[in-house]
Amino acid sequence: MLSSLTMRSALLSMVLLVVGLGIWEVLNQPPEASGAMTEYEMLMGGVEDEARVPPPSVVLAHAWSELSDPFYDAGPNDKGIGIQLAYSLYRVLTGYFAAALVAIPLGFVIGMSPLMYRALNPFIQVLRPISPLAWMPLALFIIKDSEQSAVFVIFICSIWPMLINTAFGVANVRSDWVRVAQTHELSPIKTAFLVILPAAAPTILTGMRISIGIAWLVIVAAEMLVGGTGIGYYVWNEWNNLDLSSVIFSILMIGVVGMLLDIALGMVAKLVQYEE
Amino acid sequence: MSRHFVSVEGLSKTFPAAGEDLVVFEDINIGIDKGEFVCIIGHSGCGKSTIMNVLAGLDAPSNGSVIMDGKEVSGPSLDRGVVFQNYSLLPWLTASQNVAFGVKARWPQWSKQKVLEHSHTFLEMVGLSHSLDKKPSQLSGGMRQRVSIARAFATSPKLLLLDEPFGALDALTRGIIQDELIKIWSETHQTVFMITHDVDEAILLADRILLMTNGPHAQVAESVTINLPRPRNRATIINDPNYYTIRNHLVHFLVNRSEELSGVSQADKTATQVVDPTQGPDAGSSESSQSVSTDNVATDDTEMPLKNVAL
Repeated sequence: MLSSLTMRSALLSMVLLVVGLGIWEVLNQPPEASGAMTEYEMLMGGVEDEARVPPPSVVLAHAWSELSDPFYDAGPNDKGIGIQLAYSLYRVLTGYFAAALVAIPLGFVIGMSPLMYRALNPFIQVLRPISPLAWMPLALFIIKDSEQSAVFVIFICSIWPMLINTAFGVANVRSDWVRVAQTHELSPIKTAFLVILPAAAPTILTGMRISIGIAWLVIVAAEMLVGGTGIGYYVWNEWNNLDLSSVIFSILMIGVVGMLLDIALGMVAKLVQYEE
Repeated sequence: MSRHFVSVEGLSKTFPAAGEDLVVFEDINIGIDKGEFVCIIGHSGCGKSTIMNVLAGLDAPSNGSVIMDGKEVSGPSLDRGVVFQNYSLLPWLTASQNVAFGVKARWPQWSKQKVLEHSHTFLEMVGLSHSLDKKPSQLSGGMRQRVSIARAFATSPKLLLLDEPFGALDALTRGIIQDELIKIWSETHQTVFMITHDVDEAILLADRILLMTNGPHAQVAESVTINLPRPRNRATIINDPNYYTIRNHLVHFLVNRSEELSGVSQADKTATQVVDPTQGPDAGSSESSQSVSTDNVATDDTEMPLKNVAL
């Protein structure tokens, strides 16, 4: 039954894909040339007097050629998609892990201490809703390095979900388990690592999963601003080149990488998941 | 008082409330000897669990103190093992790891191998040698409580506190685990203090049953000595001629007198009365008194004034 459901859903997905691509393909065919082209038309490369979205066949052909050589480097404005994604991933992961390093211990403190929770809560509430890109000018001014400013923006946007989830997870560890630690005379450090951390781990991982998603969303916008390298820059650069098949291709790649990041975090979350 | 292994002296707990403070219980005096199995019974709200938490060091009394082995109880300690009603196993650890958690905390210097062997010995005692590597979520309620009991016994605490350990179990499972508890207890001779709602369970397990009046201002009104011979057995204990005498006494207390006594004046309240239902006036009202032999005489040696209780 399950396998037949899997089969049927896969089949339906394929049908939807084919139908969607088919409609897209049909709607974006170049008009038939009616008669011989004029000299002007030949100079302009065809009979189209209007730019159109490239059909999927063109995008796929382009994707194939890009993916068959993802790591070529032909100068500042012409790098393979693999290199661009690697730059973006590097920035995201640097900012993200730096944020985890701050958010998880701080979340622990906030979760354990009602005093710290009350003292820090107003700051968190004000800082959290700020669009991470709003920090960009200030970051550029203070850090004076566009690369690191992008990393900082990732840092600042990934910190909140991790911080809040860690604090929430730690504060809501079942009191029974804390009592078990107490009756076994565990030191506060041991209690934190042997009881509270494993108990709060699923909630912390949920925060980390939300954070990586947000970080990946933000990096595209941040790189559009700072320029130079990265998938966000690549999208914007191809737009400036009026190369729409590259734009569509890179949009798809952003989606695929985002999905892979989420799957990776999902697998880590499974490792620390427990059933009560 | 101090010659008891554990003595609870003048314990009271007050919760601040609007207007008059809420006194849950007051002036509780309990003495527990080494190797004794003491049960405490009372209606909900009389503060049994609070007394247990104070004994465990998890809660502080408003007044009075608990002295164990010559030292005042001031916080949680490995000397007092606790089995909670809701098992309190760590769900991310297997049965074996949960017991090892306690053993490691108790003897940090032990090797991994020794911790494991010791843990498995106690899991075998409760009949769980086939489920060592199962997580609590894969175990039934009864099996979880067995793990919890194994964890508590494995740390060899000087005093074992059981907070309604079988309250959440069905009757059949409860009986089986009671048998296991009797078995382990007769092997280890732990000092045990147990809360229960189940009169039959208390008679089966206890050397002495403390009866509490209803709260607020709850008191330990009686200390009932259970002289039924050991080893006791669930199936045969009810055939003991004294069984129903004791049972009737307890039920009568819980149904009628726990409420009546909750209103008695301060002066009368402070003394816990030591009772052996198989002796004295109330025993005479029962057929079973015919078979009471002299070796059933109460040997409870608390210092509290001994009175005959007219029922």
